[in-house]
Amino acid sequence: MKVDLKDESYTIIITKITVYCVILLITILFIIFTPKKIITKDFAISLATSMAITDDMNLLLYDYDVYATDVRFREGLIKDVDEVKLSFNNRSEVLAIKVFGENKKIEIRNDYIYIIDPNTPELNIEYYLVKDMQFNDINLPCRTFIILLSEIALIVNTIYLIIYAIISISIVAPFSIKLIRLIPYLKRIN
Amino acid sequence: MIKRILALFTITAATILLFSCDNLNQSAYELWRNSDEARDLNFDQKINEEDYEIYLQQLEDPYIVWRNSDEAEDLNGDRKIDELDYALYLNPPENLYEIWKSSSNAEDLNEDGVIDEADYNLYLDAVKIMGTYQVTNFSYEGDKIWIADNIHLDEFGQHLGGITFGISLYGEIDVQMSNDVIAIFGEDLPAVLDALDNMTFTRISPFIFSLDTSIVLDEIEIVVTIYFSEIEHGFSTQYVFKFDDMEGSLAFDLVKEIQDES
Repeated sequence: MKVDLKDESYTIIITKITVYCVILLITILFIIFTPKKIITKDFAISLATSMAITDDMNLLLYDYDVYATDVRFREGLIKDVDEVKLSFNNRSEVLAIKVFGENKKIEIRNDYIYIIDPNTPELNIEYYLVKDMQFNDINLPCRTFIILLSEIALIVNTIYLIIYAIISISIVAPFSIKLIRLIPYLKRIN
Repeated sequence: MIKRILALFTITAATILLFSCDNLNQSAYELWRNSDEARDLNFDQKINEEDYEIYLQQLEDPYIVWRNSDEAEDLNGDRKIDELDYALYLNPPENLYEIWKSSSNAEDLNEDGVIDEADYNLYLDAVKIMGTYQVTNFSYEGDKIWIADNIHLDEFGQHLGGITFGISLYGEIDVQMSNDVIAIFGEDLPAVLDALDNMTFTRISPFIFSLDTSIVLDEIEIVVTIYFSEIEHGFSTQYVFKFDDMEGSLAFDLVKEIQDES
């Protein structure tokens, strides 16, 4: 649509430029800050963790760390557990950790399982690999589920990204053209 | 009177001195306990005075001093650092790592762009795993699960004598099946062969080995992993299946054939 700017006042042009700039700015900010993936591997791990079977038969001893003092043990609970979690994440596995406590308690956390167990020696962190999860009364290996969901996520994310790009371009392109067209007229009026 | 005061002073000083010595000993233990050198030396999953005593004994032993130093290495490649390695350290015949590095076996096994001792350790690990294995102690309990058109899982154990697993240096698995076993799978044989074709066997932790493969079901590739723990001369696994109403528990060992040991 061709805009006849000869009849338009300076104020109208300035208003239009301001509106277009604001729309473009909001769109660009939206493009920058909107997540580029809707399903991530972390989500797959989190979902598998929430459905993991926590029976001792389903937990395989992976490794353990032993600490001399309570201070070092607490440091290990943050630093060392994070390191092990990373290697589990890379292999698409679900991690369970066991620490000593008088009463058995199982906490399903976001990306791992925290078990307080009276049989675990004090000042130890035992790392366990969770073999299976239960989904609709079927035992599924956690690794199989995470890899499968990650691959489905790849397809879903690609489709999302294409739609996202089309919407973004369809907003940015016309408003950019309109803005570019208005600037010379503004210079002429000045 | 002065003698009495002197005696009292001497007793008090001796008591303080003794008390200080006791505190000094305690401090040394606490100092060690808070240091990076504090280790569970008797493997009871606790770090306490018993470990400290072992630590003090070890300080006097030149072998232990070497073992705790950065120079301690698995020089004979048996995946243990022990007296045999120390003997090699004292009288080095030749540097085994250097021999390996200059040999045709030297490869960048961890694919980090350099051939170094980390690759050599992976090589030693792989050499230990490498060999021909047979499935033994197969047991299955539970509902009948069909693994092919004409056989279910609990009958499969009878045919395992006809299957051998060869694990290569790179953890790739080559499965050999007798004609009897091939006949069992019938029309499912291509799918079985596909699954067997890309199997790999790797150590993922000090206690766990994994056998990874993938199968194609309805054009979807599904990754399958079986976890093993180490036993004498091989590996062992145990699984519990549950599909709707069907349940079963499966266990078997992979045992290395003796001729590979020599």
